[in-house]
Amino acid sequence: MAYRSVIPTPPGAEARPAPQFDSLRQQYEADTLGMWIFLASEILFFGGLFMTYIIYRAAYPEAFEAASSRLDLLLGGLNTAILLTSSLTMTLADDAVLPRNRKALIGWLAVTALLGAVFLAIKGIEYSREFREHLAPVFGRRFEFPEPHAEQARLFFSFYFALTGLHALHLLIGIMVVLLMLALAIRGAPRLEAKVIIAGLYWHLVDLIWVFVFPLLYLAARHG
Amino acid sequence: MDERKRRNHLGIWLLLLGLLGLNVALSFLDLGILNPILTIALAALQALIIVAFFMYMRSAAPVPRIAAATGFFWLLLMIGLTLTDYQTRFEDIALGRLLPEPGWESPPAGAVPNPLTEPGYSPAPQQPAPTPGPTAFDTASGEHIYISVCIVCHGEGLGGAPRAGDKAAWLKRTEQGVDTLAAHAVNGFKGMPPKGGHPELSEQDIHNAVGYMLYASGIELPKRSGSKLESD
Repeated sequence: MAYRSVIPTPPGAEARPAPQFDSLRQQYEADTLGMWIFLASEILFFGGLFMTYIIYRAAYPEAFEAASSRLDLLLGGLNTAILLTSSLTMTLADDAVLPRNRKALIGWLAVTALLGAVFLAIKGIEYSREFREHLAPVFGRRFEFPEPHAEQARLFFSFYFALTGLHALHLLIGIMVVLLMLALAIRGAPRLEAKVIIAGLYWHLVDLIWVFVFPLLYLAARHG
Repeated sequence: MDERKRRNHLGIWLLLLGLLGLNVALSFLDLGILNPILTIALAALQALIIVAFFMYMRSAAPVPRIAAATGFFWLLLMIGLTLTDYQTRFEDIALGRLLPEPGWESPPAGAVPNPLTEPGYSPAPQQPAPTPGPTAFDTASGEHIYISVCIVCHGEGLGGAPRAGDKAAWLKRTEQGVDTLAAHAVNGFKGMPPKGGHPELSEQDIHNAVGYMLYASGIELPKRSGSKLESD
């Protein structure tokens, strides 16, 4: 089986694995395994929310479609594209770490963090609009939905804020992790291979979750 | 080699963006039931591509693969089995029990399944009531009266009327007993006009309507001794 070529083969003293491992390959696999177990728990965490949303969506299709059409499809789609692009730049950072291409590594990590910040900024614009239009049933605020099915629309927006809010929190953590990698790279820390790849796995997972959040919430309405 | 790798990544990125565009474009078409199915299928395809290429599952060692696959397996199990359950039990959805309180919209006539009208149900043999003058409810005819009369106020909660389906509000009003509640409905109480402003209705009609609204709010009707439910 063709394992990933990034399995660390750095020169000199760095090439020795930590004492509890037989080989660098074993150490790398243990790193990935641990991260994937964590990611699986994250998948199930969001999966529960998705499942609840789908059940209510099936119970109140008209209301959820009406509520979904109040979301900003353009900004949502733009954000999806930004996040997909950030996954690309994260992968390019990955590619730069083993050839010891420090400049490229620092550059791509910075672009990745920046794209994440742009995503959050756009999300903030969306949130502020929804708060102004009284579409945010959070913090005990008034909720206004002049069409029929107001109660069910409130439910939709509760899901919207729970899902996007939790996702934004995860993205914020991801940005901090990437910034940490950036700081390590600037300081020229050794043995960054596994760290950057693990940080990348987390980043891609946040992207993966949004790939489902976007169609479930924004594309629930028929726009034609 | 490096240049090729970079080109591969760019290709995957373009593919993901293309799928995103396709998904957005599909939401402008009316495909009926296919809309939600296709949109999720496209998202799943995007997710698969991200996991396989950006998250290196394509070339990962067996053990991390198993860990990742287990996560998705449990997810499918959770969603699949739960949806199966909901798809095979419609009555809770029809009764509006999935709604957060308060708020409920009345279903159209006959849409609420009523166990009392099911073919397999035979009413308890007529027995003399154990206590003098208990309130008996016929929720089936109550539903009819509710839809033609009571819904005017109890449907949307006009003038502080408890909405049918608002369990909390109805529970508060049954604190003094269902018989008191029924008496208030017949004789009038606060905003409630006597017999709902329809003197042509019989007392039993009003009782039935109250029974139906309690039933639709998910409140169990008090079980009379000697009823079939208890003797079973």
